[in-house]
Amino acid sequence: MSPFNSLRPRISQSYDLLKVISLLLLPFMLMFGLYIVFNGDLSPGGGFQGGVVLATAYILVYFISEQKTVELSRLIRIEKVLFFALIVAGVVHLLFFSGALATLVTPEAMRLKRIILIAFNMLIGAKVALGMSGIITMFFEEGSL
Amino acid sequence: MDPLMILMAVLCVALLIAALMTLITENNFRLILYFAAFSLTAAGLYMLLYAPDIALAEIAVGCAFVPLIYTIAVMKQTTLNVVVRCAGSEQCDCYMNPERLEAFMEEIGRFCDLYGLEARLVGGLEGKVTTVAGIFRPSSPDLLIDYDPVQDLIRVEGNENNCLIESLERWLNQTPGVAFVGVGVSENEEVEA
Repeated sequence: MSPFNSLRPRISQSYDLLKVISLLLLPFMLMFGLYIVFNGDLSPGGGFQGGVVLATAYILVYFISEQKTVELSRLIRIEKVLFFALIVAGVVHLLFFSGALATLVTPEAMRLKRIILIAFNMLIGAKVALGMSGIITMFFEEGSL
Repeated sequence: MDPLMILMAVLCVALLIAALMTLITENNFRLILYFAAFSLTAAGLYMLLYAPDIALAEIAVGCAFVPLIYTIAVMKQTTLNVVVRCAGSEQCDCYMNPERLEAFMEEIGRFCDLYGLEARLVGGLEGKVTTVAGIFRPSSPDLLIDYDPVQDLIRVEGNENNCLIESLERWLNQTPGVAFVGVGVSENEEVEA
């Protein structure tokens, strides 16, 4: 008797359940993550928290997908580009926008500030989501990078 | 008394219990669950202390992401560590025959080939009593063996966290000269070969 006989049915049984529950949960997780990212300047949350939630949604898909073909190097490259974009955005904001807008409380200035904050949150969220997904993918496929 | 204060006290006690259970539990998967419970309780406390940002980050990272990484790490075990109980301890006071040990490792290796694992002899730590359970153990052995010269028997003790331990027990019970004593810390059972 092969020892695999005792393992196989248990795995395939729980697999369907995992698949259905994950697919049911996925849109809500994506929506919640995007909400946290885009509403981070008004409500609790922000780029980091929303990015982690988005990364968790990605991990769910990665767990249940049959063929695990993720181009890890491209993921990491996009993350590096985002990192530099974040630094550049911070420097640009510091040089051109911070001094002129610091004391203004007019509606136009507040709207501009909000737009800047949302842009920063989007950058941070994308970077964190890609980084966390990269960590998990690397953890699964040890030594592929 | 303020009901918020009562809730906070309850959460603090739950936090302490979860942290202590994380430390003293011996099952790896249960440890991960206790850690997640700890994070959830901490997030509730942050929320009560008016830090919803931190609470959200704590839930996202400590309750979903870190347990996932730990689960993958526990799942991804690739070696089966075998430790010979040291000759200096009081349970066993004689050295095992090297040929006997080699034959036993070959048998384990044949089992490990079925699952894509690699059997590795870690070696007993001299002067220290090794166990297969507990969080402060020096290494993480899956099997702990000692040799009984009177009955010419190898006693094997398994780690209960290993998910293959039941099939390994079935495998070893068919092998002559080897007795599977049990899992965890139960050492007093007498098993006929």
